[in-house]
Amino acid sequence: MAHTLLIVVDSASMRQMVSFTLKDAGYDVIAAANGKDALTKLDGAKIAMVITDLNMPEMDGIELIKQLRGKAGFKFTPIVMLTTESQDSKKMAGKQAGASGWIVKPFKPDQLLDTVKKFVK
Amino acid sequence: MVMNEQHKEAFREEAYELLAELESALLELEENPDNQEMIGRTFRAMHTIKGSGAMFGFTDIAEFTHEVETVYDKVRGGLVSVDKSLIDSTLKSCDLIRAMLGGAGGADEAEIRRLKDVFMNMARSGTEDSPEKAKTGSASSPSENRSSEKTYRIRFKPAQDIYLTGTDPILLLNELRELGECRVVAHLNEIPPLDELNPEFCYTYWDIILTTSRGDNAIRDVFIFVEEDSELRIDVIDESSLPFDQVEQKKLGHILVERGDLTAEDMVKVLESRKLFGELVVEKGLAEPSKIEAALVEQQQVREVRQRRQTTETASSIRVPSDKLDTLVNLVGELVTVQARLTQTAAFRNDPHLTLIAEEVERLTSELRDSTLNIRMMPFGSTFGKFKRLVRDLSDDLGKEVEMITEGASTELDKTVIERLNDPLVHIIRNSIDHGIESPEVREAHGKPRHGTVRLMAEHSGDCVFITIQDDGAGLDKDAIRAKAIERRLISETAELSEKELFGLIFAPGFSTAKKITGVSGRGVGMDVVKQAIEALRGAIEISSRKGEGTTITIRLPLTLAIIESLLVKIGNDRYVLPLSFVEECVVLTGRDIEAAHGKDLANVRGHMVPYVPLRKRFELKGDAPDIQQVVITSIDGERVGLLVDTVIGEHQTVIKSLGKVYHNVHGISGATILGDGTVALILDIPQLVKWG
Amino acid sequence: MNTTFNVSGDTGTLALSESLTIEDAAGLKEAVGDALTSSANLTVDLSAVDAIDLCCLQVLCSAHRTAVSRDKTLMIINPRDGFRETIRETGYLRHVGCVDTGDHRCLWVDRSVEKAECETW
Repeated sequence: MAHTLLIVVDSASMRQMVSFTLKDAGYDVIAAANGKDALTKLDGAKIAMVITDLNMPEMDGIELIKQLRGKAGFKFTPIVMLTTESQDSKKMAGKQAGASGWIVKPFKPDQLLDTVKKFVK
Repeated sequence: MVMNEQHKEAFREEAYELLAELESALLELEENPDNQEMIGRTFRAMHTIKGSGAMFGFTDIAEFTHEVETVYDKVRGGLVSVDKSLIDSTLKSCDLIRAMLGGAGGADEAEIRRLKDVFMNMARSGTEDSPEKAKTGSASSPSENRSSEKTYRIRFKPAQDIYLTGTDPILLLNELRELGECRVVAHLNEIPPLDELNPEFCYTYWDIILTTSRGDNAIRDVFIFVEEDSELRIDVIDESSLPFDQVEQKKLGHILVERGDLTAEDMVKVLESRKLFGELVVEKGLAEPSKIEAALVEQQQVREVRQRRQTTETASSIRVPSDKLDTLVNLVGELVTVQARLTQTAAFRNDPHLTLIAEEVERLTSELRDSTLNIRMMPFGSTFGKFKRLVRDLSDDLGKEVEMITEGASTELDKTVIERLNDPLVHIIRNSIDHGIESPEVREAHGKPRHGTVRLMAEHSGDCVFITIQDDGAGLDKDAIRAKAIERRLISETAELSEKELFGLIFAPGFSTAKKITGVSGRGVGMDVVKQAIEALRGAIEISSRKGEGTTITIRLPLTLAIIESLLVKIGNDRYVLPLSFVEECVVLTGRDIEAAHGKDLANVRGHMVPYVPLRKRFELKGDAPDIQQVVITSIDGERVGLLVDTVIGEHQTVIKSLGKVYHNVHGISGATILGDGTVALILDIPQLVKWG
Repeated sequence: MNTTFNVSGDTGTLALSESLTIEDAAGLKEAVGDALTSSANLTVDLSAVDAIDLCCLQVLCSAHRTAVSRDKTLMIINPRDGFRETIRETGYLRHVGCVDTGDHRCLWVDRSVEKAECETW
């Protein structure tokens, strides 16, 4: 059975690229535009991994991570943030909120998949 | 003791080879100071010399080389940069190491100390300004560039709450496994009893032995997200640059101490009790069994990796003492002789079955002969490094700027030929630089580029190899040669000489045109000795020159010394062998021809009178010559000279046998061979016969 | 996670089911702890377990250690491929047992594998 990944990215083009890459690699994908959107789209699905942007309207990435970690079934779920080189403080905040790792933007599809493989069997 | 001497000898041989390789790497490095491959080669060569040197009792070499190696390790790491002084000092080190290899008193102690200091200073300076240089160094040579395989020991102890950050250590371990051969040992000693256990914590930690060529960064990348919160230690425990059999396998105790799993004092205590080390350590509760196991796993993996490396290395080449090869060549020589007898007998018996077998044996023998001789072949390029070095040193000494260009490195020659060619070539190159190439100022004044060029070229042609040494120097001064030859009474004052003859005088004993005696060219003992050496190799040497433009010396050499193509001739009842390389043609000489020449030993070859040596008379053989004789026309140094024989039998493959010391002074004979019917035939030394005839 | 526990005499058998992951670790700890309290010799039957993760291996190891300290025994029976894969992946599979198991057989020692022959003492 394919693992389901939750993708939370504000930018439509990037969301599309990430979704496409992951689907192409055989994962199921739930895509959301921001934290709030993500939480509503979950609907009790078993999520193997979360990939979330940090700067998003409605609910940003840090807040999403915090909320997810408090949710049943997300205690041990890998959560990877998409950061930019200059966001070191954000990275720390994300880690404190419970993020597992990060991918620095811009990234190539292969880099994304390599990171996913670190967390999903 | 005998064994030990053998090993020492083997080490010497290896070290000489390494030094030669090192020198060519250094010269290459001088041109391209950033050449990582050459830096690596230099480091590895030094490393090997040090390691093996220490093992075979060359402590002085090991100590000295250590300092050099240290500096090159820094060069490798980008902490020290390559410049002329480094190359100079390293080249000098090569000389010193060579001298030390020679044995006691071979090397200048003071010089060793001086150079040691030089290298120690360089190593120190490399450390001081390291932070800045290290950065630029690593930028230009990312570790991914280094493709060599290394074995790492990784101790990974994740934070206990690693699961709460969504990371599964198993996935990290699997990621490591993808990098290369990987052995994983888990340590469970920190897992508490149930009542103290937090089931969501990770209590396990690991020792991982990984062999990979992907470099340190690839390993760090695996742990990128957890590195901060975990205990992570990555050590290199084996590198492919370390020679497999010259680095001692690490003892179990040392591995444990290195890892910090056992204190050094405890190790000594355990060692003193002289029982099985691992068992004792566990028995005494000094370390966990899993730690011992991890150490054992490390030993095993390193051993396996090294064995694999050894297998690939030995598969690609085998080192064989050259006397074994000589024996093989001799045996093949005997076989060729016997095969000739077989063929002869088969033809004589007129037995088709036997003929068939004889033909098959002939085919196999010829293949065997070719491949055996081929084993002895070495690329001429193996000597280039040495000559480049010579050119470099000489031009430095003489204040000239000389560049050496080499061509035809892959041209193969018999090992013995290459070895015996060394001294003559050194002489010729010395002459070119000392007498040929002008000083930079003079060159500029003549509208030439400041730096002169010496070309060393090797080229195949038929069963010969041509070696050419060409310089763009001043060229030979005909008037000076002539004056000198008259002064030395080599020619009369009125002698009319062609250009070729004039240049040929240079090869006369005791001739030297240099007005000034320099330490480089010596005292004019040069070119006659060179010519003799080349002729001893059954080769020929020629010189041509243009004043102001340069001099070219061409050496023609046979491919091999062991077996030659030759012409078999008969005089009376004896047969003789003439090396085919000298033979141009055969002509018939009748009684009428002799009359026509009015008693002079001259043969008319299509209108040209060619002098000949009547061998029957020369060898004082009894009996009369047949009515129709044959003249074998040979060409030596461009001169056509005939050899008068009774009959020419035909071409023959001759296995050369030396005649031994008793016959050493017999002129005109260079060796002997055994013919198919078992009789002995002498091999004629044509240049000598012609000279003395 | 479903468990069934049967006792006969002083031997108890704890049968575990399907997938044992970190989410089940706490439950596993409790089940094994209880079973160990109520029997002198505990057998853990893995015939129904097709996957297990590191956390649950740790629980079993800890339980074994606890049993040894209480002079009880704990053994594992009917391991399946999923279990074997995990003890190989985690490096639990070993040749030498722990110190404090004394004469007891370490859970993870694989007797089928010859002791490493490379001991250079």
